Amino acid sequence: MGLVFSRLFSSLFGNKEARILVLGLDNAGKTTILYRLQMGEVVSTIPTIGFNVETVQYNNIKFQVWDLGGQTSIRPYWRCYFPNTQAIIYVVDSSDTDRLVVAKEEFHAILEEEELKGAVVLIFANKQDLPGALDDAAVTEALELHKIKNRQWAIFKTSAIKGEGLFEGLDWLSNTLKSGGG
Amino acid sequence: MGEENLVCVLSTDYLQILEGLLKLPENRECADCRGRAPRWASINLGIFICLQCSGIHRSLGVHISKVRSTTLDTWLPEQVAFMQRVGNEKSNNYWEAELPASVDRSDIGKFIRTKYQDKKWASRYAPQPALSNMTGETSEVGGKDIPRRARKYSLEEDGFSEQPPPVPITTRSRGVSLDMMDEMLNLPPINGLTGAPSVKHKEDTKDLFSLLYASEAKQDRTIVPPSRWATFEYYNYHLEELDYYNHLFEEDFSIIYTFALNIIGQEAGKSVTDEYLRQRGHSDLYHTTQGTSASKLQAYVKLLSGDSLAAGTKKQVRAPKESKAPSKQESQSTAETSNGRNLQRGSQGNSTKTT
Repeated sequence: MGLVFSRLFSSLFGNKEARILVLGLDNAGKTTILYRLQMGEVVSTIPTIGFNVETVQYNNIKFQVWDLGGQTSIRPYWRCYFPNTQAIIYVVDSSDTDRLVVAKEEFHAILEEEELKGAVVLIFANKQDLPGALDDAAVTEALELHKIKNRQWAIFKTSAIKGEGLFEGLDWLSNTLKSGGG
Repeated sequence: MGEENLVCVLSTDYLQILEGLLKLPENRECADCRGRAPRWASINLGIFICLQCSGIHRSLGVHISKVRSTTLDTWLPEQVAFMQRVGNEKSNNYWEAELPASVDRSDIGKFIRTKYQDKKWASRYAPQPALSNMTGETSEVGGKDIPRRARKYSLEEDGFSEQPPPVPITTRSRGVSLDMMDEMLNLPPINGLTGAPSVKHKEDTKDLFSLLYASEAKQDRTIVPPSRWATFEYYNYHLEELDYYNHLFEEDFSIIYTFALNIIGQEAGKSVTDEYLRQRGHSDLYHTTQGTSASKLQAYVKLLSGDSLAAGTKKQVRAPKESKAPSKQESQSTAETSNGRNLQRGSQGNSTKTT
């Protein structure tokens, strides 16, 4: 009875927990985003070999955010982290136009994964502070987001360095998760 | 640049070439901080750099530097060829042409930004070594010179697509790879800025790829199912990687173990690491660590630098705490300066350590 009550209480007044994976090609800005969300600071990073995990409390949701390394040969290990994931944050370096096709391929491969069928998807068109960065419409086009079926998704222009767009994305994520998505 | 050509990615062939390039005297030190044994590269600058400097290069943006790992990323043939054509010496001849002898590299981030972003010390006379200067050659290399069968599927593709590949997947014995490495080291040395680069380079490039071709032709080729192939490639690939990290962490095997479990994955990581330890003659450790590969993910080695080093924060991956200062990865580079023994190691469940 106590358990039921506490669950009811937490569903009414927050404390919802969500497991989030931050994915994307190497050097998309995943780690910088993670620590910008968690600490509110820009940290200097080195390539993530393995993963970082932090908890970010926002809008009464406790996000457990997993930031996985994006180098080519460690991308296949992303799938080890797929079970029980409520949301994917897919990060794109909007200025790396040469690799948008690769980013698209990886993105759609993730969406095919059975274990991520229920996960909502938030796309960050990151590095808007850099010259030549494509805007959200162009990234939407390049990633062929219109092909997404049966899934809630959103894209935001972000600059992890300037701290822009990240919490707007997290707002969308928390609202979507609270309303039953994921 | 044509990374959209997803089919064309490196396997052991290009890894071997990169390994060979890393053994050239000019590439044995990081192009920027001069730290030893760089394992990262900037594919548009044509230089080999260390892990720490790679982080700084990444922060510059891809319009200045495009960073790849020589061991963890897949490469296109023209990228490998470009690395061979440039390299640290030639690149620094350009980027450090006006470098004063008294320059301070202690703030390496500032040094790198001044060097490549502000172009403060770049040569006023010579052209910048760049892919765009060599477009004619690169397209030839990427498109025609590379025989179709020299191209293999990457681990990446094997991991993501269950479909049978359109071309037979082949593999080679370990011995052949080593032979090839020897040939690699006998390649003509890379020239400095003197001479007429374009013609000479073209020859070098052809040598490079004819080498691939020849080695493909003379070996026995066995067709194996994709899964076995993946395991095999995977396995040899990670052995080298493990050797590298083993060296980096001064043979603290518990760290290697943890590393492998996280990077390679739990199942494969265990078998690869066990085999690695066995092959490297650490059978005693092999037995003692066998029990440590729990079903949980192990805390990845988090090495703390500077002030946080003394605090000795250990990271419990399974129970992340809120508002805890993240252990920054920059600190890994401390290990490269052979300071590894003083570092805190977050090895959860791995009590075995050698001293």
